Amino acid sequence: MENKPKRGYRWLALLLLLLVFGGLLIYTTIGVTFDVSGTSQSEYTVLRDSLTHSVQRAPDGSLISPQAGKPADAEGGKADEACPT
Amino acid sequence: MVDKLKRITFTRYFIQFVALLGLNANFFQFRSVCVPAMNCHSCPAATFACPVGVLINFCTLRIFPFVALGIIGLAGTLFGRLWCGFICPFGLLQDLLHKIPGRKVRLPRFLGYTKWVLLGGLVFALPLLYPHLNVSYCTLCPVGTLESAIPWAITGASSPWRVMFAVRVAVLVGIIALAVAASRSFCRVFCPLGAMLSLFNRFSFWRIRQENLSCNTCGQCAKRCPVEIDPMAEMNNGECVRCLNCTTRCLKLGVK
Repeated sequence: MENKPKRGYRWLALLLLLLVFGGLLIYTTIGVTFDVSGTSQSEYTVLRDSLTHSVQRAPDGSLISPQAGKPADAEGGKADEACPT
Repeated sequence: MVDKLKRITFTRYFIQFVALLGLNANFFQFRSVCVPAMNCHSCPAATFACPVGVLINFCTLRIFPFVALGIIGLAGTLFGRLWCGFICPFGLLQDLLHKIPGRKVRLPRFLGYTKWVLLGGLVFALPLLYPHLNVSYCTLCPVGTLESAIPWAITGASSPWRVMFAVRVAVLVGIIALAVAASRSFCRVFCPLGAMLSLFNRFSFWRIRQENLSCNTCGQCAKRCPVEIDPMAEMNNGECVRCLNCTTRCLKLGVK
């Protein structure tokens, strides 16, 4: 019986955390976009491009894509690999 | 009891191997999202992005990492560090390395704070404050060295004749040697993702619970614990990787 209030708080905390972190994902899916070299991109796109350092901060603070405007390579525009560290 | 031990051990290894293949499938790539396990996205075969790498990249770009934090938080709230015990490929490697016969050592508990220093310093602070330095956890990450730097050097995409490459390999060799001597040493001492997930361990939805039976202090659960905690005294401690070894020797521990 003594554990009941604690258990109740745990479920409340779990629910709150699920709402907060689930909310972060839902919010970024439907509401967050970034201006990268003049084009609007979702966070998922920025995340993927950041792995290959295809998104960078310009000296003026804006997000830029160094690859923007460059023609696809002769082999048919093969996607960038993530940086070989 | 032996059957239960065998069943859980087999199940865990099976899931770990499937996760290893799934995270490095090379058939498809979903690198727009990350999975809460240490698996370098620079690996040529990686399926998903590494959450630690994503946090570092976003700190460097000074963007709030909604996706990475959302996934880590959601994963932690639901399962705590179960990801470390059942999904992480580097955890599997450490489990296998520790089976190599040789002198085994116990790690002092205070070393566990190292991962918090690494999380604060090399994952958040340095990339955020000095992005131009290109110094972060990824620079020395042994998972990145094993899954990415070495394969890329072998394929010729990057030169192995660099000081930084030698340093990285030395760190990896050190971590491997430590994993042979002390079980799950990387998880306990150096893993920033483990540090983040450990925050959720005590109250996560899925956790180990104690049955309403008295403990006869036989100590079997503590003997089998790879992270050297006493499961009866420190149930769902932040260091617990939810391997379930303790539950195989005790009727009083259950999973919920």
